[in-house]
Amino acid sequence: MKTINKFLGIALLLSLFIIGCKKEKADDPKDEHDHHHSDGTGTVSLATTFKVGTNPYSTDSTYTNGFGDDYKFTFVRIYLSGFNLTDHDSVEQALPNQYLLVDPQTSSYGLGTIDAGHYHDFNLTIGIDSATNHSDPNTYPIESPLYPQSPAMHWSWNSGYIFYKLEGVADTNNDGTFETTFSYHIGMDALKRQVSKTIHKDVMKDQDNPIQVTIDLGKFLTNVDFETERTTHTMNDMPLATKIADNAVTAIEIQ
Amino acid sequence: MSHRNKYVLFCILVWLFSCSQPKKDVKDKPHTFHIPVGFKHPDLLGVDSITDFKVKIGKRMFFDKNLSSTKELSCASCHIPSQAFSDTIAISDGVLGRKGFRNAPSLANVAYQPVMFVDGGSPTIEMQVVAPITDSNEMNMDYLEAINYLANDSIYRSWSMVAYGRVPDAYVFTRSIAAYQRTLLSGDAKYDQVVQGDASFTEEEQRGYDLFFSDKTNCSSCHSGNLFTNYTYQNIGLYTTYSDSGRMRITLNEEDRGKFKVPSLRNVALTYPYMHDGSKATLEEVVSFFDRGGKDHPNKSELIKPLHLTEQEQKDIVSFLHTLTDKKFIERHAVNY
Repeated sequence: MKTINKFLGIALLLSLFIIGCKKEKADDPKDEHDHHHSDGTGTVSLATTFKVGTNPYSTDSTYTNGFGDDYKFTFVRIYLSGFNLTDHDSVEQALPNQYLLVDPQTSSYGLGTIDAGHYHDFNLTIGIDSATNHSDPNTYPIESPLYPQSPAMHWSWNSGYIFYKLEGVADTNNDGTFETTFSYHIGMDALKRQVSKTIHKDVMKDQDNPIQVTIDLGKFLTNVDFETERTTHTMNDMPLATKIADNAVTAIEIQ
Repeated sequence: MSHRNKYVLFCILVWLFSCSQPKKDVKDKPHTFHIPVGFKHPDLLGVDSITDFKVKIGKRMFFDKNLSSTKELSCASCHIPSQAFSDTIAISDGVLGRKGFRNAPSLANVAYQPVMFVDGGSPTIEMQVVAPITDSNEMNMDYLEAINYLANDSIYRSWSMVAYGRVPDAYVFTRSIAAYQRTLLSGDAKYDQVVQGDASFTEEEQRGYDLFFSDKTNCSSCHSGNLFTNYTYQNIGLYTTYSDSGRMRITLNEEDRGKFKVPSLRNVALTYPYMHDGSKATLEEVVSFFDRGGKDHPNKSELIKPLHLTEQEQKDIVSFLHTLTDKKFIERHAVNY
Protein backbone atom coordinates (compact mmCIF):
# COMPACT_ATOMS: atom_id res chain seq x y z
CA MET A 1 0.00 0.00 0.00
CA LYS A 2 2.79 2.42 0.86
CA THR A 3 4.45 1.67 -2.47
CA ILE A 4 1.19 2.30 -4.33
CA ASN A 5 0.62 5.55 -2.50
CA LYS A 6 4.13 6.68 -3.42
CA PHE A 7 3.49 5.77 -7.02
CA LEU A 8 0.19 7.65 -7.12
CA GLY A 9 1.74 10.63 -5.48
CA ILE A 10 4.53 10.79 -8.03
CA ALA A 11 2.02 10.37 -10.84
CA LEU A 12 -0.07 13.23 -9.49
CA LEU A 13 2.94 15.49 -9.16
CA LEU A 14 4.05 14.70 -12.67
CA SER A 15 0.56 15.47 -14.02
CA LEU A 16 0.45 18.79 -12.27
CA PHE A 17 3.92 19.56 -13.60
CA ILE A 18 2.92 18.80 -17.18
CA ILE A 19 -0.30 20.75 -17.00
CA GLY A 20 1.35 23.67 -15.25
CA CYS A 21 4.11 23.88 -17.80
CA LYS A 22 1.79 23.87 -20.80
CA LYS A 23 2.47 27.17 -22.40
CA GLU A 24 -0.26 29.33 -23.72
CA LYS A 25 -0.25 29.12 -27.46
CA ALA A 26 1.26 32.31 -28.79
CA ASP A 27 -1.27 34.39 -30.55
CA ASP A 28 -1.10 33.93 -34.29
CA PRO A 29 -0.86 37.43 -35.77
CA LYS A 30 -3.89 36.50 -37.93
CA ASP A 31 -6.02 35.89 -34.83
CA GLU A 32 -5.88 39.55 -33.88
CA HIS A 33 -8.18 40.32 -36.80
CA ASP A 34 -9.98 36.96 -36.89
CA HIS A 35 -12.12 37.86 -33.92
CA HIS A 36 -15.09 35.74 -34.93
CA HIS A 37 -13.24 32.47 -34.38
CA SER A 38 -12.80 31.02 -30.99
CA ASP A 39 -11.96 27.70 -29.46
CA GLY A 40 -14.81 25.31 -29.23
CA THR A 41 -18.28 25.02 -30.61
CA GLY A 42 -21.78 25.82 -29.50
CA THR A 43 -25.24 24.82 -30.61
CA VAL A 44 -27.68 27.19 -32.23
CA SER A 45 -31.43 26.93 -32.01
CA LEU A 46 -34.37 28.79 -33.48
CA ALA A 47 -36.71 30.10 -30.82
CA THR A 48 -40.07 30.93 -32.41
CA THR A 49 -42.87 33.07 -31.09
CA PHE A 50 -46.15 33.10 -32.96
CA LYS A 51 -48.42 36.09 -32.73
CA VAL A 52 -51.10 37.93 -34.63
CA GLY A 53 -50.43 41.63 -34.46
CA THR A 54 -49.86 42.44 -30.82
CA ASN A 55 -51.78 39.38 -29.67
CA PRO A 56 -50.32 36.01 -28.78
CA TYR A 57 -51.33 33.16 -31.08
CA SER A 58 -53.71 30.35 -30.23
CA THR A 59 -56.24 28.35 -32.23
CA ASP A 60 -58.93 29.44 -29.77
CA SER A 61 -58.34 33.12 -30.32
CA THR A 62 -60.32 35.33 -32.64
CA TYR A 63 -58.49 38.03 -34.55
CA THR A 64 -59.67 40.86 -36.78
CA ASN A 65 -58.12 41.62 -40.16
CA GLY A 66 -57.69 44.91 -41.94
CA PHE A 67 -61.13 44.58 -43.51
CA GLY A 68 -62.83 44.28 -40.15
CA ASP A 69 -63.53 40.56 -40.46
CA ASP A 70 -63.07 38.30 -37.46
CA TYR A 71 -61.16 35.10 -38.09
CA LYS A 72 -59.38 32.19 -36.47
CA PHE A 73 -56.58 29.93 -37.62
CA THR A 74 -57.18 26.18 -37.69
CA PHE A 75 -53.94 24.92 -39.26
CA VAL A 76 -50.52 26.51 -39.67
CA ARG A 77 -47.31 24.92 -40.93
CA ILE A 78 -44.32 26.74 -42.39
CA TYR A 79 -41.14 25.41 -43.99
CA LEU A 80 -38.10 27.51 -43.08
CA SER A 81 -34.70 26.60 -44.45
CA GLY A 82 -31.31 27.77 -45.60
CA PHE A 83 -30.16 28.89 -42.15
CA ASN A 84 -26.75 30.50 -42.03
CA LEU A 85 -24.74 32.94 -40.01
CA THR A 86 -22.26 35.26 -41.65
CA ASP A 87 -19.02 36.62 -40.30
CA HIS A 88 -17.63 40.12 -40.76
CA ASP A 89 -16.22 39.07 -44.16
CA SER A 90 -19.75 38.06 -45.16
CA VAL A 91 -18.69 34.43 -45.37
CA GLU A 92 -21.74 32.30 -44.75
CA GLN A 93 -21.55 29.42 -42.36
CA ALA A 94 -24.45 27.10 -42.97
CA LEU A 95 -26.03 25.62 -39.89
CA PRO A 96 -26.12 21.83 -39.95
CA ASN A 97 -29.90 21.53 -39.73
CA GLN A 98 -31.07 23.22 -42.90
CA TYR A 99 -34.79 22.43 -42.95
CA LEU A 100 -37.49 22.98 -40.37
CA LEU A 101 -41.24 22.51 -40.50
CA VAL A 102 -42.41 25.07 -38.00
CA ASP A 103 -45.72 24.93 -36.17
CA PRO A 104 -47.23 27.18 -33.50
CA GLN A 105 -47.18 24.44 -30.86
CA THR A 106 -43.39 24.15 -30.88
CA SER A 107 -41.15 26.99 -29.76
CA SER A 108 -37.61 25.70 -30.15
CA TYR A 109 -35.82 23.93 -32.99
CA GLY A 110 -32.22 22.78 -32.97
CA LEU A 111 -30.12 24.07 -35.85
CA GLY A 112 -26.97 22.17 -34.94
CA THR A 113 -23.43 22.85 -33.82
CA ILE A 114 -21.26 25.67 -35.13
CA ASP A 115 -17.90 27.21 -34.28
CA ALA A 116 -18.18 29.49 -31.31
CA GLY A 117 -17.54 33.16 -32.04
CA HIS A 118 -19.07 36.38 -33.21
CA TYR A 119 -21.39 36.42 -36.20
CA HIS A 120 -22.99 39.37 -37.90
CA ASP A 121 -25.98 38.33 -39.96
CA PHE A 122 -28.54 35.57 -39.71
CA ASN A 123 -30.25 34.48 -42.93
CA LEU A 124 -33.13 32.14 -43.61
CA THR A 125 -35.44 31.16 -46.44
CA ILE A 126 -39.22 31.07 -46.19
CA GLY A 127 -39.78 27.95 -48.25
CA ILE A 128 -37.37 25.45 -49.73
CA ASP A 129 -34.52 25.75 -52.22
CA SER A 130 -35.26 24.63 -55.74
CA ALA A 131 -33.20 21.44 -55.77
CA THR A 132 -34.77 20.12 -52.59
CA ASN A 133 -38.18 21.42 -53.62
CA HIS A 134 -38.14 19.01 -56.57
CA SER A 135 -36.67 16.08 -54.70
CA ASP A 136 -38.64 12.98 -53.70
CA PRO A 137 -40.09 13.27 -50.18
CA ASN A 138 -40.22 9.48 -49.99
CA THR A 139 -36.44 9.26 -49.87
CA TYR A 140 -35.99 11.15 -46.61
CA PRO A 141 -35.79 9.48 -43.19
CA ILE A 142 -39.01 9.42 -41.25
CA GLU A 143 -37.76 11.95 -38.72
CA SER A 144 -36.90 14.51 -41.41
CA PRO A 145 -39.30 17.43 -41.88
CA LEU A 146 -39.01 16.67 -45.61
CA TYR A 147 -40.54 13.20 -45.17
CA PRO A 148 -44.23 12.99 -46.15
CA GLN A 149 -46.42 14.77 -43.62
CA SER A 150 -50.02 14.50 -42.57
CA PRO A 151 -51.73 16.78 -43.43
CA ALA A 152 -49.67 16.75 -46.60
CA MET A 153 -47.03 19.43 -47.20
CA HIS A 154 -46.20 18.30 -50.74
CA TRP A 155 -48.10 18.45 -54.01
CA SER A 156 -47.90 15.07 -55.69
CA TRP A 157 -49.74 16.19 -58.83
CA ASN A 158 -47.36 19.06 -59.54
CA SER A 159 -44.31 17.86 -57.75
CA GLY A 160 -43.09 20.26 -55.12
CA TYR A 161 -43.36 21.13 -51.46
CA ILE A 162 -46.05 23.37 -50.03
CA PHE A 163 -43.91 26.04 -48.39
CA TYR A 164 -46.61 26.97 -45.93
CA LYS A 165 -50.25 26.31 -45.23
CA LEU A 166 -52.42 28.88 -43.51
CA GLU A 167 -55.96 27.69 -42.95
CA GLY A 168 -58.81 28.96 -40.86
CA VAL A 169 -62.33 30.31 -40.70
CA ALA A 170 -63.67 33.85 -40.99
CA ASP A 171 -66.83 35.80 -40.35
CA THR A 172 -67.13 37.85 -43.52
CA ASN A 173 -70.73 38.94 -43.07
CA ASN A 174 -70.29 40.00 -39.43
CA ASP A 175 -73.11 37.83 -38.14
CA GLY A 176 -71.03 36.22 -35.44
CA THR A 177 -70.57 32.88 -37.23
CA PHE A 178 -67.42 31.79 -39.00
CA GLU A 179 -69.05 30.71 -42.24
CA THR A 180 -66.11 31.32 -44.56
CA THR A 181 -63.25 28.85 -44.80
CA PHE A 182 -59.93 30.28 -45.93
CA SER A 183 -57.07 28.16 -47.21
CA TYR A 184 -53.73 29.43 -48.48
CA HIS A 185 -51.19 26.89 -49.68
CA ILE A 186 -48.12 28.64 -50.99
CA GLY A 187 -45.35 26.94 -52.92
CA MET A 188 -43.37 26.86 -56.19
CA ASP A 189 -39.79 28.01 -56.60
CA ALA A 190 -40.73 31.57 -57.56
CA LEU A 191 -42.49 32.15 -54.26
CA LYS A 192 -39.71 31.35 -51.83
CA ARG A 193 -38.47 34.41 -50.03
CA GLN A 194 -35.36 35.39 -48.06
CA VAL A 195 -35.16 37.06 -44.69
CA SER A 196 -31.93 38.47 -43.29
CA LYS A 197 -30.94 40.54 -40.31
CA THR A 198 -27.75 41.82 -38.78
CA ILE A 199 -27.95 40.46 -35.26
CA HIS A 200 -24.35 40.48 -34.02
CA LYS A 201 -24.67 37.09 -32.46
CA ASP A 202 -22.08 35.70 -30.12
CA VAL A 203 -22.21 31.93 -30.28
CA MET A 204 -20.89 30.80 -26.91
CA LYS A 205 -19.15 27.49 -26.72
CA ASP A 206 -20.56 24.48 -24.95
CA GLN A 207 -24.03 25.93 -24.69
CA ASP A 208 -27.12 26.51 -26.76
CA ASN A 209 -27.46 29.87 -28.44
CA PRO A 210 -31.05 30.61 -29.39
CA ILE A 211 -31.91 33.01 -32.19
CA GLN A 212 -35.32 34.58 -31.68
CA VAL A 213 -37.75 34.71 -34.57
CA THR A 214 -41.22 36.17 -34.32
CA ILE A 215 -43.86 34.99 -36.76
CA ASP A 216 -46.81 37.37 -37.11
CA LEU A 217 -49.44 35.32 -38.92
CA GLY A 218 -51.62 38.35 -39.39
CA LYS A 219 -48.97 39.95 -41.57
CA PHE A 220 -49.12 37.04 -44.03
CA LEU A 221 -52.67 38.19 -44.70
CA THR A 222 -52.07 41.91 -45.12
CA ASN A 223 -54.53 43.21 -47.75
CA VAL A 224 -56.04 39.75 -48.17
CA ASP A 225 -59.82 39.97 -48.17
CA PHE A 226 -61.41 36.71 -46.99
CA GLU A 227 -64.58 37.59 -48.85
CA THR A 228 -63.06 37.67 -52.32
CA GLU A 229 -59.70 36.02 -51.74
CA ARG A 230 -60.48 33.15 -49.44
CA THR A 231 -58.26 30.56 -51.13
CA THR A 232 -55.24 30.01 -53.28
CA HIS A 233 -53.26 26.83 -53.73
CA THR A 234 -50.75 28.80 -55.76
CA MET A 235 -51.21 27.39 -59.27
CA ASN A 236 -54.91 28.19 -59.33
CA ASP A 237 -54.42 31.82 -58.23
CA MET A 238 -50.86 32.93 -58.67
CA PRO A 239 -51.44 36.67 -58.08
CA LEU A 240 -52.99 36.04 -54.66
CA ALA A 241 -50.27 33.51 -53.80
CA THR A 242 -47.63 36.06 -54.81
CA LYS A 243 -49.24 38.71 -52.61
CA ILE A 244 -49.10 36.38 -49.62
CA ALA A 245 -45.52 35.37 -50.42
CA ASP A 246 -44.49 39.03 -50.57
CA ASN A 247 -46.23 39.58 -47.23
CA ALA A 248 -44.26 36.68 -45.74
CA VAL A 249 -41.03 38.65 -45.52
CA THR A 250 -42.78 41.14 -43.24
CA ALA A 251 -44.36 38.38 -41.19
CA ILE A 252 -41.19 36.60 -40.19
CA GLU A 253 -38.98 38.85 -38.14
CA ILE A 254 -35.57 37.91 -36.81
CA GLN A 255 -35.06 39.56 -33.47
CA MET B 1 -50.44 -30.13 -18.12
CA SER B 2 -48.08 -33.14 -18.32
CA HIS B 3 -44.50 -32.74 -19.51
CA ARG B 4 -45.32 -34.61 -22.71
CA ASN B 5 -48.24 -32.33 -23.51
CA LYS B 6 -46.16 -29.25 -22.79
CA TYR B 7 -43.52 -30.53 -25.18
CA VAL B 8 -46.11 -31.16 -27.89
CA LEU B 9 -47.59 -27.70 -27.38
CA PHE B 10 -44.12 -26.17 -27.60
CA CYS B 11 -43.43 -27.96 -30.89
CA ILE B 12 -46.74 -26.78 -32.32
CA LEU B 13 -46.02 -23.18 -31.35
CA VAL B 14 -42.55 -23.34 -32.90
CA TRP B 15 -44.01 -24.73 -36.09
CA LEU B 16 -46.71 -22.06 -36.25
CA PHE B 17 -44.18 -19.30 -35.58
CA SER B 18 -41.78 -20.57 -38.21
CA CYS B 19 -44.54 -20.65 -40.81
CA SER B 20 -45.42 -16.98 -40.27
CA GLN B 21 -41.89 -15.72 -40.71
CA PRO B 22 -39.80 -15.78 -43.85
CA LYS B 23 -37.27 -18.52 -43.82
CA LYS B 24 -33.97 -17.22 -42.61
CA ASP B 25 -32.39 -18.22 -45.86
CA VAL B 26 -34.94 -16.36 -48.06
CA LYS B 27 -32.99 -14.07 -50.28
CA ASP B 28 -34.10 -11.59 -52.83
CA LYS B 29 -32.74 -11.53 -56.35
CA PRO B 30 -32.85 -9.21 -59.34
CA HIS B 31 -36.12 -9.52 -61.20
CA THR B 32 -36.04 -11.17 -64.60
CA PHE B 33 -37.90 -8.85 -66.95
CA HIS B 34 -39.78 -10.01 -70.00
CA ILE B 35 -38.32 -7.35 -72.28
CA PRO B 36 -39.86 -7.05 -75.73
CA VAL B 37 -37.55 -7.11 -78.74
CA GLY B 38 -36.11 -3.67 -79.33
CA PHE B 39 -37.07 -2.34 -75.88
CA LYS B 40 -34.56 -1.11 -73.31
CA HIS B 41 -34.18 -2.79 -69.93
CA PRO B 42 -36.36 -0.74 -67.56
CA ASP B 43 -33.89 -1.15 -64.71
CA LEU B 44 -31.38 0.94 -66.57
CA LEU B 45 -33.57 4.02 -66.36
CA GLY B 46 -31.94 5.42 -63.26
CA VAL B 47 -33.87 3.57 -60.60
CA ASP B 48 -32.77 1.27 -57.80
CA SER B 49 -32.31 -2.35 -58.59
CA ILE B 50 -35.66 -4.04 -59.05
CA THR B 51 -35.94 -7.38 -57.32
CA ASP B 52 -38.46 -10.18 -57.14
CA PHE B 53 -39.63 -9.22 -53.67
CA LYS B 54 -39.98 -5.55 -54.56
CA VAL B 55 -42.20 -6.54 -57.48
CA LYS B 56 -44.12 -8.98 -55.26
CA ILE B 57 -44.79 -6.31 -52.64
CA GLY B 58 -45.74 -3.78 -55.28
CA LYS B 59 -48.16 -6.15 -56.95
CA ARG B 60 -49.84 -6.92 -53.64
CA MET B 61 -50.15 -3.17 -52.97
CA PHE B 62 -51.48 -2.52 -56.48
CA PHE B 63 -54.42 -4.84 -55.85
CA ASP B 64 -54.92 -3.93 -52.18
CA LYS B 65 -58.25 -2.22 -51.54
CA ASN B 66 -57.18 -1.31 -48.01
CA LEU B 67 -55.22 1.51 -49.60
CA SER B 68 -58.43 3.47 -50.13
CA SER B 69 -60.40 5.21 -47.39
CA THR B 70 -63.49 3.05 -48.00
CA LYS B 71 -61.45 -0.14 -48.60
CA GLU B 72 -63.34 -0.47 -51.88
CA LEU B 73 -60.77 0.70 -54.38
CA SER B 74 -57.28 -0.31 -55.30
CA CYS B 75 -55.00 0.93 -58.06
CA ALA B 76 -56.33 -1.94 -60.16
CA SER B 77 -59.87 -0.58 -59.92
CA CYS B 78 -58.98 2.04 -62.52
CA HIS B 79 -55.97 0.26 -64.04
CA ILE B 80 -57.54 -3.06 -64.99
CA PRO B 81 -55.10 -5.68 -66.29
CA SER B 82 -57.42 -6.94 -69.02
CA GLN B 83 -57.74 -3.37 -70.33
CA ALA B 84 -53.97 -2.96 -70.58
CA PHE B 85 -54.15 -1.37 -67.13
CA SER B 86 -56.58 1.37 -68.08
CA ASP B 87 -60.34 1.19 -67.59
CA THR B 88 -63.43 1.54 -69.75
CA ILE B 89 -65.09 4.76 -68.64
CA ALA B 90 -64.36 8.38 -69.38
CA ILE B 91 -63.64 9.51 -65.81
CA SER B 92 -63.13 6.79 -63.24
CA ASP B 93 -65.16 6.57 -60.06
CA GLY B 94 -63.26 7.41 -56.93
CA VAL B 95 -64.43 6.64 -53.41
CA LEU B 96 -68.02 7.51 -52.57
CA GLY B 97 -68.81 8.05 -56.24
CA ARG B 98 -66.49 11.03 -56.50
CA LYS B 99 -65.02 11.90 -59.85
CA GLY B 100 -61.67 13.30 -60.88
CA PHE B 101 -61.36 15.11 -64.19
CA ARG B 102 -59.15 13.00 -66.43
CA ASN B 103 -59.29 9.60 -68.09
CA ALA B 104 -57.22 6.84 -66.46
CA PRO B 105 -54.26 6.13 -68.76
CA SER B 106 -52.87 2.70 -69.57
CA LEU B 107 -49.90 1.69 -67.43
CA ALA B 108 -48.43 -0.56 -70.12
CA ASN B 109 -44.84 0.53 -70.67
CA VAL B 110 -45.10 3.25 -68.03
CA ALA B 111 -41.48 2.37 -67.24
CA TYR B 112 -40.45 4.30 -70.33
CA GLN B 113 -42.43 7.46 -69.63
CA PRO B 114 -40.07 10.40 -69.00
CA VAL B 115 -42.67 12.11 -66.80
CA MET B 116 -46.01 11.13 -65.30
CA PHE B 117 -49.53 12.51 -65.85
CA VAL B 118 -50.78 13.92 -69.13
CA ASP B 119 -49.54 17.31 -68.03
CA GLY B 120 -46.13 16.08 -66.90
CA GLY B 121 -46.75 17.09 -63.29
CA SER B 122 -44.74 14.31 -61.69
CA PRO B 123 -41.17 13.41 -62.65
CA THR B 124 -41.11 9.72 -61.71
CA ILE B 125 -43.40 6.76 -61.14
CA GLU B 126 -42.18 6.64 -57.56
CA MET B 127 -43.39 10.17 -56.89
CA GLN B 128 -46.57 9.81 -58.93
CA VAL B 129 -48.02 6.82 -57.03
CA VAL B 130 -48.74 9.01 -54.02
CA ALA B 131 -51.19 11.18 -55.98
CA PRO B 132 -54.07 8.76 -56.67
CA ILE B 133 -53.72 7.21 -53.21
CA THR B 134 -54.19 10.58 -51.50
CA ASP B 135 -56.46 12.43 -53.94
CA SER B 136 -59.80 13.02 -52.24
CA ASN B 137 -61.62 12.23 -55.50
CA GLU B 138 -59.76 8.97 -56.03
CA MET B 139 -58.60 6.73 -53.19
CA ASN B 140 -58.84 9.47 -50.56
CA MET B 141 -56.29 7.96 -48.21
CA ASP B 142 -54.22 9.75 -45.61
CA TYR B 143 -50.71 8.91 -46.74
CA LEU B 144 -49.25 8.21 -43.32
CA GLU B 145 -52.29 6.11 -42.45
CA ALA B 146 -51.68 4.06 -45.59
CA ILE B 147 -48.05 3.53 -44.63
CA ASN B 148 -49.08 2.65 -41.10
CA TYR B 149 -51.40 -0.02 -42.47
CA LEU B 150 -48.56 -1.51 -44.53
CA ALA B 151 -46.16 -1.36 -41.59
CA ASN B 152 -48.58 -3.27 -39.38
CA ASP B 153 -49.42 -5.98 -41.89
CA SER B 154 -47.39 -9.12 -41.22
CA ILE B 155 -46.96 -10.06 -44.88
CA TYR B 156 -45.88 -6.60 -46.00
CA ARG B 157 -43.54 -6.41 -43.03
CA SER B 158 -41.85 -9.72 -43.67
CA TRP B 159 -41.54 -9.17 -47.42
CA SER B 160 -40.24 -5.65 -46.83
CA MET B 161 -37.54 -7.00 -44.52
CA VAL B 162 -36.40 -9.33 -47.29
CA ALA B 163 -36.53 -6.71 -50.05
CA TYR B 164 -35.37 -3.61 -48.19
CA GLY B 165 -34.11 -4.71 -44.77
CA ARG B 166 -36.64 -2.40 -43.15
CA VAL B 167 -40.32 -2.25 -42.26
CA PRO B 168 -42.62 -0.53 -44.75
CA ASP B 169 -42.31 3.23 -44.91
CA ALA B 170 -42.81 5.82 -47.65
CA TYR B 171 -39.72 4.65 -49.49
CA VAL B 172 -40.79 0.99 -49.44
CA PHE B 173 -44.30 1.92 -50.54
CA THR B 174 -43.30 4.05 -53.50
CA ARG B 175 -40.43 1.86 -54.70
CA SER B 176 -42.53 -1.29 -54.53
CA ILE B 177 -45.53 -0.09 -56.49
CA ALA B 178 -43.19 1.47 -59.01
CA ALA B 179 -41.20 -1.77 -59.24
CA TYR B 180 -44.34 -3.70 -60.11
CA GLN B 181 -45.41 -1.11 -62.67
CA ARG B 182 -42.01 -1.25 -64.31
CA THR B 183 -42.63 -4.92 -65.11
CA LEU B 184 -45.65 -4.01 -67.25
CA LEU B 185 -43.85 -4.18 -70.57
CA SER B 186 -45.84 -4.62 -73.75
CA GLY B 187 -44.20 -5.04 -77.14
CA ASP B 188 -45.26 -8.36 -78.60
CA ALA B 189 -48.35 -7.42 -80.57
CA LYS B 190 -49.17 -8.56 -84.10
CA TYR B 191 -47.47 -5.36 -85.32
CA ASP B 192 -44.22 -6.45 -83.65
CA GLN B 193 -44.48 -9.95 -85.12
CA VAL B 194 -44.91 -8.42 -88.59
CA VAL B 195 -41.92 -6.11 -88.06
CA GLN B 196 -39.86 -9.10 -86.97
CA GLY B 197 -40.99 -11.09 -90.00
CA ASP B 198 -43.02 -13.66 -88.06
CA ALA B 199 -46.47 -12.63 -89.28
CA SER B 200 -48.22 -10.69 -92.04
CA PHE B 201 -50.77 -7.94 -92.01
CA THR B 202 -54.11 -8.40 -93.67
CA GLU B 203 -54.60 -6.14 -96.68
CA GLU B 204 -56.68 -3.74 -94.58
CA GLU B 205 -54.08 -3.65 -91.82
CA GLN B 206 -51.29 -3.06 -94.34
CA ARG B 207 -53.15 -0.15 -95.91
CA GLY B 208 -53.73 1.23 -92.45
CA TYR B 209 -50.02 0.85 -91.60
CA ASP B 210 -49.04 2.68 -94.79
CA LEU B 211 -51.47 5.53 -94.06
CA PHE B 212 -50.36 5.77 -90.43
CA PHE B 213 -46.73 6.27 -91.43
CA SER B 214 -47.49 8.50 -94.41
CA ASP B 215 -47.10 12.22 -94.94
CA LYS B 216 -50.79 12.28 -95.77
CA THR B 217 -51.78 11.68 -92.12
CA ASN B 218 -48.58 12.44 -90.15
CA CYS B 219 -49.89 10.17 -87.37
CA SER B 220 -46.40 8.86 -86.81
CA SER B 221 -44.96 12.34 -86.37
CA CYS B 222 -46.23 12.33 -82.80
CA HIS B 223 -47.08 8.64 -82.38
CA SER B 224 -43.55 7.57 -83.19
CA GLY B 225 -41.00 5.00 -82.16
CA ASN B 226 -41.41 1.70 -80.40
CA LEU B 227 -43.93 3.11 -77.98
CA PHE B 228 -45.88 5.07 -80.61
CA THR B 229 -45.37 8.35 -78.80
CA ASN B 230 -42.73 11.06 -78.80
CA TYR B 231 -43.88 12.15 -75.32
CA THR B 232 -44.30 15.77 -76.40
CA TYR B 233 -47.19 17.96 -75.31
CA GLN B 234 -49.60 18.73 -78.11
CA ASN B 235 -52.81 20.65 -78.57
CA ILE B 236 -54.90 18.77 -81.15
CA GLY B 237 -57.79 21.21 -81.28
CA LEU B 238 -60.06 18.94 -79.28
CA TYR B 239 -61.87 22.05 -78.04
CA THR B 240 -61.92 25.75 -78.80
CA THR B 241 -62.18 26.36 -75.07
CA TYR B 242 -60.54 23.88 -72.71
CA SER B 243 -61.92 23.38 -69.21
CA ASP B 244 -58.76 21.44 -68.46
CA SER B 245 -55.76 23.60 -69.26
CA GLY B 246 -53.44 20.59 -69.57
CA ARG B 247 -49.74 21.34 -69.53
CA MET B 248 -50.48 24.96 -68.64
CA ARG B 249 -51.66 23.70 -65.26
CA ILE B 250 -48.01 22.97 -64.54
CA THR B 251 -46.10 25.63 -66.44
CA LEU B 252 -48.64 28.48 -66.13
CA ASN B 253 -47.66 29.42 -69.71
CA GLU B 254 -50.57 30.43 -71.95
CA GLU B 255 -48.85 28.75 -74.91
CA ASP B 256 -49.27 25.42 -73.11
CA ARG B 257 -53.04 25.73 -72.74
CA GLY B 258 -54.81 22.64 -74.03
CA LYS B 259 -51.59 20.68 -74.56
CA PHE B 260 -51.46 17.12 -73.29
CA LYS B 261 -48.75 14.48 -73.46
CA VAL B 262 -49.01 12.33 -76.57
CA PRO B 263 -50.20 8.90 -75.38
CA SER B 264 -48.68 5.63 -76.48
CA LEU B 265 -50.93 3.79 -78.94
CA ARG B 266 -49.85 0.32 -77.81
CA ASN B 267 -52.95 -1.66 -76.87
CA VAL B 268 -55.05 1.35 -77.91
CA ALA B 269 -57.95 -0.93 -78.91
CA LEU B 270 -58.27 -1.86 -75.23
CA THR B 271 -57.86 1.57 -73.67
CA TYR B 272 -61.14 3.20 -74.74
CA PRO B 273 -62.55 5.74 -74.25
CA TYR B 274 -60.00 8.16 -75.62
CA MET B 275 -58.54 11.63 -75.09
CA HIS B 276 -57.49 13.21 -71.80
CA ASP B 277 -61.11 13.36 -70.71
CA GLY B 278 -62.32 10.13 -72.29
CA SER B 279 -64.63 12.09 -74.56
CA LYS B 280 -64.19 9.86 -77.62
CA ALA B 281 -65.74 6.44 -77.14
CA THR B 282 -64.28 4.54 -80.09
CA LEU B 283 -61.25 4.45 -82.33
CA GLU B 284 -63.55 5.23 -85.25
CA GLU B 285 -64.56 8.50 -83.57
CA VAL B 286 -60.93 9.35 -82.92
CA VAL B 287 -59.83 8.74 -86.51
CA SER B 288 -62.83 10.70 -87.76
CA PHE B 289 -61.90 13.58 -85.45
CA PHE B 290 -58.36 13.73 -86.82
CA ASP B 291 -59.69 13.44 -90.37
CA ARG B 292 -61.79 16.56 -89.80
CA GLY B 293 -58.72 18.45 -88.53
CA GLY B 294 -59.88 19.37 -85.04
CA LYS B 295 -61.28 22.69 -83.90
CA ASP B 296 -59.61 26.05 -83.98
CA HIS B 297 -57.30 26.90 -81.11
CA PRO B 298 -54.28 29.23 -81.06
CA ASN B 299 -52.08 26.46 -79.64
CA LYS B 300 -53.20 23.75 -82.04
CA SER B 301 -50.40 21.77 -83.68
CA GLU B 302 -49.77 22.57 -87.33
CA LEU B 303 -49.90 18.84 -88.03
CA ILE B 304 -53.60 18.75 -87.17
CA LYS B 305 -55.54 19.59 -90.30
CA PRO B 306 -58.21 17.98 -92.48
CA LEU B 307 -56.83 14.74 -93.95
CA HIS B 308 -59.56 14.04 -96.54
CA LEU B 309 -59.54 10.32 -95.81
CA THR B 310 -62.13 8.07 -97.39
CA GLU B 311 -64.35 5.95 -95.22
CA GLN B 312 -62.33 2.87 -96.18
CA GLU B 313 -59.06 4.62 -95.34
CA GLN B 314 -60.38 5.46 -91.90
CA LYS B 315 -61.37 1.81 -91.41
CA ASP B 316 -57.92 0.74 -92.56
CA ILE B 317 -56.24 2.93 -89.95
CA VAL B 318 -58.48 1.49 -87.24
CA SER B 319 -57.61 -2.03 -88.42
CA PHE B 320 -53.93 -1.21 -88.17
CA LEU B 321 -54.38 0.20 -84.66
CA HIS B 322 -55.90 -3.11 -83.59
CA THR B 323 -52.60 -4.80 -84.50
CA LEU B 324 -51.02 -2.94 -81.56
CA THR B 325 -52.92 -5.12 -79.08
CA ASP B 326 -50.50 -7.37 -77.21
CA LYS B 327 -52.56 -10.37 -76.12
CA LYS B 328 -49.56 -12.06 -74.56
CA PHE B 329 -49.08 -9.04 -72.31
CA ILE B 330 -52.70 -9.23 -71.21
CA GLU B 331 -52.45 -12.96 -70.52
CA ARG B 332 -49.14 -12.62 -68.71
CA HIS B 333 -50.50 -10.03 -66.30
CA ALA B 334 -54.03 -11.38 -65.95
CA VAL B 335 -55.06 -11.46 -62.31
CA ASN B 336 -58.29 -12.74 -60.84
CA TYR B 337 -59.51 -9.52 -59.38
